[in-house]
Amino acid sequence: MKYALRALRHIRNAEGPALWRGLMLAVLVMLAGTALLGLSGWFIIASGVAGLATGWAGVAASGISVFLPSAGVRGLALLRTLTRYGERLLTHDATLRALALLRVRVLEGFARLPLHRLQALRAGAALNRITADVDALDGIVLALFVPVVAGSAVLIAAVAGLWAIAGPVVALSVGAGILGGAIAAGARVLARARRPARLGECAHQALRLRLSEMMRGQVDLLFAGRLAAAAEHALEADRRQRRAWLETAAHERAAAGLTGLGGLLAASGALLGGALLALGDAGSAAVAGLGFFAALGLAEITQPLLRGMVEWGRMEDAARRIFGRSPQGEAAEAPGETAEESAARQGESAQPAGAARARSAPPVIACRAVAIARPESPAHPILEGIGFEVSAGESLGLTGPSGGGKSTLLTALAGELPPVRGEILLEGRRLGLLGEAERRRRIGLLLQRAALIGGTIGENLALAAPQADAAAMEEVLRAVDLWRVFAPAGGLALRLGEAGSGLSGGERRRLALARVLIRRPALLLLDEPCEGLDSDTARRVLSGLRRYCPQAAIVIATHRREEAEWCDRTCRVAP
Amino acid sequence: MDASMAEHEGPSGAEGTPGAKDHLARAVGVAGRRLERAGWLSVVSALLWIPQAAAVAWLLQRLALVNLGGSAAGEGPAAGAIAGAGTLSWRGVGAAVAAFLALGLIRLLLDARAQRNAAEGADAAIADLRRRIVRQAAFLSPSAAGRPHSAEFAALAAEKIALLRPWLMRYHPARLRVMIVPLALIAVAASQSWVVAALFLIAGPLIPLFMALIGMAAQKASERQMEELASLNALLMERLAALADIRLLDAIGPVSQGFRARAEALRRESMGVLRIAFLSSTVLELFAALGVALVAVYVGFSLLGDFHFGAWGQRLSVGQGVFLLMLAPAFFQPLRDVAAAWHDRAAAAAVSRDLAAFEKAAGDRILGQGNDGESTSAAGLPEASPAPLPGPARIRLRGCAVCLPGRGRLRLPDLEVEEGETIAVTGPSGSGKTTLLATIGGLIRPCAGDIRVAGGTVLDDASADAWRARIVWIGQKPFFLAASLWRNLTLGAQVPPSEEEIRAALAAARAEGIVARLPRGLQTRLGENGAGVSGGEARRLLIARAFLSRGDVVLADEPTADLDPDTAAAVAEGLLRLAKGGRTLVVATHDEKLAGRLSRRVALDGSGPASASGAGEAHAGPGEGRA
Repeated sequence: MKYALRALRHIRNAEGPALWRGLMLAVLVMLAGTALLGLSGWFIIASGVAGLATGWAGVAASGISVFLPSAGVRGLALLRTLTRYGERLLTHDATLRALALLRVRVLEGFARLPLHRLQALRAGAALNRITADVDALDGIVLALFVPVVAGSAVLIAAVAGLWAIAGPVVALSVGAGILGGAIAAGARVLARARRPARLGECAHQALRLRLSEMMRGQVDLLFAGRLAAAAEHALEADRRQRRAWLETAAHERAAAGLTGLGGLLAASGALLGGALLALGDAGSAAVAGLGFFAALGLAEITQPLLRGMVEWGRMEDAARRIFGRSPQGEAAEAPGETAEESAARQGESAQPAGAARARSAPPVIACRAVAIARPESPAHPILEGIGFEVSAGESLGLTGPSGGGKSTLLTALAGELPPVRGEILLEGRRLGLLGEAERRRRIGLLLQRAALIGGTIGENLALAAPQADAAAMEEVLRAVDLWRVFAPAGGLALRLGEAGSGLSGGERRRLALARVLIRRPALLLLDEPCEGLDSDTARRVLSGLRRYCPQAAIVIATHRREEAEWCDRTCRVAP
Repeated sequence: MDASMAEHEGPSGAEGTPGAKDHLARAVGVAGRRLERAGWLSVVSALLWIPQAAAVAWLLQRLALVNLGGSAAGEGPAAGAIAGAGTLSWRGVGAAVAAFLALGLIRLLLDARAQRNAAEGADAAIADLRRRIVRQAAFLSPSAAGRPHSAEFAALAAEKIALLRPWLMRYHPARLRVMIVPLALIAVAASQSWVVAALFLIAGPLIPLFMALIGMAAQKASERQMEELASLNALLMERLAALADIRLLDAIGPVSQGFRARAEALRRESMGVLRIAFLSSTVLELFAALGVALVAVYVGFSLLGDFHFGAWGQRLSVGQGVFLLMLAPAFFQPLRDVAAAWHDRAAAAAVSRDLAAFEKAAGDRILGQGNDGESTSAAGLPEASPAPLPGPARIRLRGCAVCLPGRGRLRLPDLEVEEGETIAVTGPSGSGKTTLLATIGGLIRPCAGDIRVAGGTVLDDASADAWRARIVWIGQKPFFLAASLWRNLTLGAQVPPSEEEIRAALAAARAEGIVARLPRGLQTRLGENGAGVSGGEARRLLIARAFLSRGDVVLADEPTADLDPDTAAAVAEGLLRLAKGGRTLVVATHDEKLAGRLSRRVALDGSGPASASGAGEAHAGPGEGRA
């Protein structure tokens, strides 16, 4: 409930005015619908009675205006139709706009996670959050908020109107029937339908995850003899999803039955009450007809609620996953800079970057007695007493066994992981005090498992340097010895498959390297840049890289002789 | 309900690749009987409104006469209608209301039954379609032209197919209703007033006409929306998988801007679909409302005595008026239902177009039968993997070439591998080493030449599954399922290995230290591409997995690519140890040391118009010195 309200608040904050206008129109639609039927019934019976009693001449004399009600009937018909169109457009548009914004916020929330969690992020699960979960929220407005608020207002107005025209018996029996049906349906559905709705959504998301995993891991699964099993595993989620859906549909039918019963009782009550009043000379046949037809009209106000009731469990869960206590949730609510960033900004204004650089030329990167720990176990440093300096134009190779902490150290040098002890200085300034934007501009980090995106080669490079033109892109591709590979196959327009498939491992690696280089950072942190390359290509890439960024300070984590030999100095990193 | 799940296995057997329309026809065929039953139940329910309206009309007629009381005695043009009436007992009121109520209850029950049948029918159709395309997707060739992005496929199978549900549930029953109910109501209305019947006759057919026009626009809009939805999903999946890199490249801003534009575009397309849906229902409601209003006004003026035509014989009575007024919305309702379902039909047509596109790509399959026959038991338990192909682990390629979409024809070398041999496939990056391994593994269908495996069996659809049961694959890009490391390590094991065996395999791959360091040991879940361990560690875990697998032919793609010299040597040792147990090894590698330790070397020169990446290998670009 709490999170659903937060979702509602988000939508209200984003699209408040449109939402309120939509709500007003929704009230108008339902009122017009009820009035239309009520007035038609009254008009026919009243004119029938008048016609029977006195003939046409008498009608004129009796003072019943024929034209007013008949014009009213037509007017209400038009009003209802047009306002309904406007109402649907307004509420749907407002909701979809707010949800589009929410999707972006959730994505940005993911982007703010610490680097190690970001690397462990499973794209499929995150995709579910941004698409399926956000989609589930539209019902909070369209199937709950608007129908409940507008429906209540109309019901109150209609009961009051009937009370004035047809007396308390008719008014109360209509009100009790409609409200009773809605409440009974709501209570039954909330008690029983939440579970299948929730299970159905879980199964739906599991189905998506399993399918995309089956597709992405197809080859591994195939040779393990598990591909067919993976398909069946996905179909098992499909079975669960469909079973939950059938159960939900059964609850929806029950809810429709109960609200239908409420409407039927309301109409019967109005008929009975009106007839008794008419028989007792306390009312007229026309008024009895009005009550009955108004009840028929009112029965429709509960229809939009059905979906909301049935899907409540699903919406509630989705809202909790999005707005629950998680970095994404907070980000979704209040995007903005972190405390660290704003502190950094203040620090920057106290010491302008230009002034610091003018005094002397400090090394691009300097470590002083640094100790670092893996983010999973911050209490146990894996590296201690690290100290080195790398100046512009120099290169340092970090060597050591696999799993020795080289990658973790690079992460720390990039400012993505604060050291447990000691300090890391970028051009003489504490890394932790630099703003994120500044850090990103000065530092390029090539991750060990850098991911490419589908799309063209040019799009992959534009990700890093949106302003770069074709010549600049060609230049950087030449530097990593890729241009001669791509040029005959379409150049920058060469299209890659999913996650950069279609390239060999070495080509992928070099394209990822080019993406880092094209930004020409002052500090290049490269985690095994020549992984998957043969010796000749590796040497060409390394020399091309230096030619491309002659002034950069370069730190390379490496196992390879070619890389280590190429570096000016090496430093062994081991726990 | 559950019982019905099992019987939805659907029509099995071989059928060709159906086009767009066939998918829908097949879906309707599977849902068939239930949809028909749903239609008839809803027809009966709709027709029961006639006696309900009659009960109300009778009651209000009597009330009106009572209202007139004695004052109307014998006067006025309606004297005949009044004669013999004018009294109404309490019992009469009770009977009329009870009839209205009872009929209403029956209709509620009938509607619920109809809905249930429709839901179950639609569910059967969805189950059938999903099963079909999921099994096809599993064996879709990795290099198929038009292979959907994993997220696109997930969206197709999970979401888009579900869009067929409203179409199945609503369109078919509504179509049956619209053929019967309006005609019945016209007949009933005609018995009371030919003017009202004529009004119905004129207004009615306009609705389907408009719907046909709007339906065409709706289908286009639906198609656009679905394209946007699928490509948004694919785009997001890519961006999310690369989110760490994107942040490091300081591209979160542009990426989220770009995503925002796409999310807005999706909203616009969705609103486009909704706008047409709303517009069509508005047009309909307008027709229906004006139809009802015309009937009301005609009836009103007739009752007042202004109109003297339209009714048979006498003027309309109050009861007839009320009756006709109640029939009017019921006449338009089935037409409105069909019109609303037109929109669902447009969505269904768009989905079926996507399905047809998928099936076209799915024609390019991995070699093998897979498990796409309906051979799975109803309980959904997968069949046991096929028995390994018997025969010596001998591989022979003769005159093979592969034709990859968009990358031209790549000639593969002639190759003989004897049982127990260890072969190093070397060559420059992009010369087709991976393609060669994939062809031996039956992932790629050669477009020329023949491949014999297991000492003479032709590698084709019949033998590929059994052949693969003998292969251990160590791929270039580590992939870990979203499951514990234990599950990932034992993925290819025939019987669950003991803890001892796992420990031994980890030791053989020099990976025991990695597991010891992980916070939850073998229960750890790694990221999709092995995040949580380093690249070298991920590779060693894959090699440990190979030790636990049943196969005796190892195809390894760059197994030492990112290992330090010590670990690489240890892994090479492990691979050779695998070979020592009689296994055959084919290794694509750049690693000279590893290649030197294997028994034979096959060098690919990357000549011939090979792959895109191989095409330019022979000549270096201008200005590129070989350092």
